Amino acid sequence: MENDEIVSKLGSLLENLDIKSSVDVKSSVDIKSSVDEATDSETANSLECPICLQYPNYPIELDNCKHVFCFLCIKGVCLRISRCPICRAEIPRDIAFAGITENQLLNGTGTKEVSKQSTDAYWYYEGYRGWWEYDSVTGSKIEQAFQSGEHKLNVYLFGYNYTINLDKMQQCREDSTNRVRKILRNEVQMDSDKKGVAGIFSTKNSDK
Amino acid sequence: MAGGLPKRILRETEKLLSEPVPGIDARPDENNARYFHVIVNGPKDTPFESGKFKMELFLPEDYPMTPPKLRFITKIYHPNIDQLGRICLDTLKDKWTPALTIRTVLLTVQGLLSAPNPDDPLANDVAAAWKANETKAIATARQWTRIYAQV
Repeated sequence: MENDEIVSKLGSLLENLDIKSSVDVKSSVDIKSSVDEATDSETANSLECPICLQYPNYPIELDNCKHVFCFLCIKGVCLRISRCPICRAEIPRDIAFAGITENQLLNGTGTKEVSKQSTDAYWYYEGYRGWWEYDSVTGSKIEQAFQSGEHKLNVYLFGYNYTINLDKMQQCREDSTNRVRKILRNEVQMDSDKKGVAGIFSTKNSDK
Repeated sequence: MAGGLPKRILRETEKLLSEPVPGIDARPDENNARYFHVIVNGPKDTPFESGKFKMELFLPEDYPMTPPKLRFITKIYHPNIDQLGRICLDTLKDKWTPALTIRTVLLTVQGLLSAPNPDDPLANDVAAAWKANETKAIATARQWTRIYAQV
């Protein structure tokens, strides 16, 4: 999407939101200018997720309104209110509660690749009927903490804070639910055993 | 503070400092990156002109899924702002969406100073006074600006 197009879309968004006309549309778009991540240089002029303000990771386009978000970001929204953050169009709650498949991700925009060392491993959490791989960004954060000998770390996923306890190999959501899940480190990538990545079903295993 | 600071908050802060909103100074507290000290200049051609209004803004743990908490510290005579500095703005409540930012919220506050709306008051007597005698209310607002809104 071109910047101008984003600006014009944001313009109509702001109208919908009844924001006073003094709002400077261009400045609120926050088109990415700073490049602070390895992969950003390739995508410096491209899309930004309106929720995390970064290049969308596992991007998904909403069926009705065509707005694009990171899957994890829109899942976070969907857990609270099933409306598009841009235009308030209704969005299917399945995104958060049933998950999606790889095929539903937006074509032409890739998953954020995080540079992996040869010694790096893969991180999984136990979820609905099996193991799920963490998203690439969170996985590499956990691995980093693991390799530097930390006992625990906090990660921020779809609007919730989670504590990853590397001694107990557990993750715990820091809110009223305090739901605990087992986590797992694997030297090689699970293939047929994993359900998918971060709530996105792997299509290879969809028959399982 | 439990949890790291989400990248989004860092991004927003950087941007606010490098490209401030005209007429608004917002900077994070040196001990708490989720707490912002804000000074809003009263917009031109309003009873708040030449006033400097102190505000505080706090980003809750689950921001941006929930809206920032925002309050006037400086006393202000405005139909949509109560004695405790709480602001009646739907975007800070049920109309919040995570696509809004600190920047858009502050712009909306600036807009509210330019366009008081006594038909949607925050249960205070200012709105009643505003509707009963707008000229007098505006004079009072101007007087309060002179007395209280000088940093």
